[in-house]
Amino acid sequence: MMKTTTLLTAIGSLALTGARDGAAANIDFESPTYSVGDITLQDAWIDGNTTAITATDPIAGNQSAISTDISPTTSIYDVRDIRGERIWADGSRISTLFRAENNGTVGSFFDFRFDSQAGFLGDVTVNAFGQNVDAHDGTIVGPITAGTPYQIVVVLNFTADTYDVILQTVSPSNPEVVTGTIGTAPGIAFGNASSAADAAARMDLRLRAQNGGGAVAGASVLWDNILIESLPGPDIVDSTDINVEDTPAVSFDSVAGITYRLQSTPDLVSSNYTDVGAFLEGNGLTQLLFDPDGPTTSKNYRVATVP
Amino acid sequence: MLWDNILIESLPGPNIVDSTDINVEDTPAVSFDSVAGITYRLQSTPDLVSSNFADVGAFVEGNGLTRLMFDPAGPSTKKNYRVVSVPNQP
Repeated sequence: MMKTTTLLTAIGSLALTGARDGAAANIDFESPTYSVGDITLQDAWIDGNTTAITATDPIAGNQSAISTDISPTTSIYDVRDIRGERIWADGSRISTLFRAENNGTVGSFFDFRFDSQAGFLGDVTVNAFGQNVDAHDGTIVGPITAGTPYQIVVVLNFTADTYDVILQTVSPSNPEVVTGTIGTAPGIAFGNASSAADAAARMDLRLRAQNGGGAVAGASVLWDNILIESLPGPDIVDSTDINVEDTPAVSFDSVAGITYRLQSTPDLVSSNYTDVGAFLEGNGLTQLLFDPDGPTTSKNYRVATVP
Repeated sequence: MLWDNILIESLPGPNIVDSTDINVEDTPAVSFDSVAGITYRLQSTPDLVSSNFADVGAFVEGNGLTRLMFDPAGPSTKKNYRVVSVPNQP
């Protein structure tokens, strides 16, 4: 049975105005009123001479903002998101992590915006690129299905080929499943990322723009059209639980990392062993191999390792 | 042409594992109709209420007939089982 749910999760928008030593920085989170997975930023703080932190509840469609003047004495700004990850700028890049969480509301808009300014810390490399790129109108087809793997597709509407943009999907149970890098032509559909939503129907999405050197005044990069869609699930076979009484099994001490196969003779006198088609992965414990054709006491069995 | 110095020597056989035939009574098995050329793996839940299936490490090659899959960790009636097809698995 294939699961083919397609969805897009909106995680609001982020505008990060460039910061550098001696400069002020504003970090603003905006939450679309109809978004699924509003950005949650809790217990945020600034490590330094903080002057202001405001508006920390972007849930339920309220626009929110955290703004602060960052001290020139720090080079890493210790603003953290709900998972304790830093939103930081250290002169070469800005990195942040958000959580996209299904709150049960399906919308039709998604925008993640990453702004930079010339000469500021965390500028995105935008060589030969000097104007905002704007795109909206993603499609949300929800909701997230617990336990379903998803593919993330990001369309980056860039007009240059010099970006070093990294997309990471993160799930709580298996962080940073896939990382991909985009460094080529504009308008690329990035589909080489996958992750699995955990049992709480939650997925984390990490977008990092890394400075490869240089910046262009007034440049902005908008992340848009992030599509999270389900990947095909396992192909489940119709099967029936039964009890097989008095079943011959072969017991052996397995070694982790070794695959074992069961072989049998056609009768009790032959020494012509052939595979019965059952094999298993060793786990370092005593394990059992059974004849998949059913119980029999009229064969000889042995276990062989798979080369 | 004369062939000379032909050396016939044994090739390494399969690596046979020390194992013991035993009988396991009242063993839960999963029965399914297999397709030749398809490899199947058995998955189980940690208990009877969970829906979190994980591989138990057992594989069976389909042969077009009804086949059985067993938990290599031993018999248990406290798990849910299912069979998943895994094309191109070892």
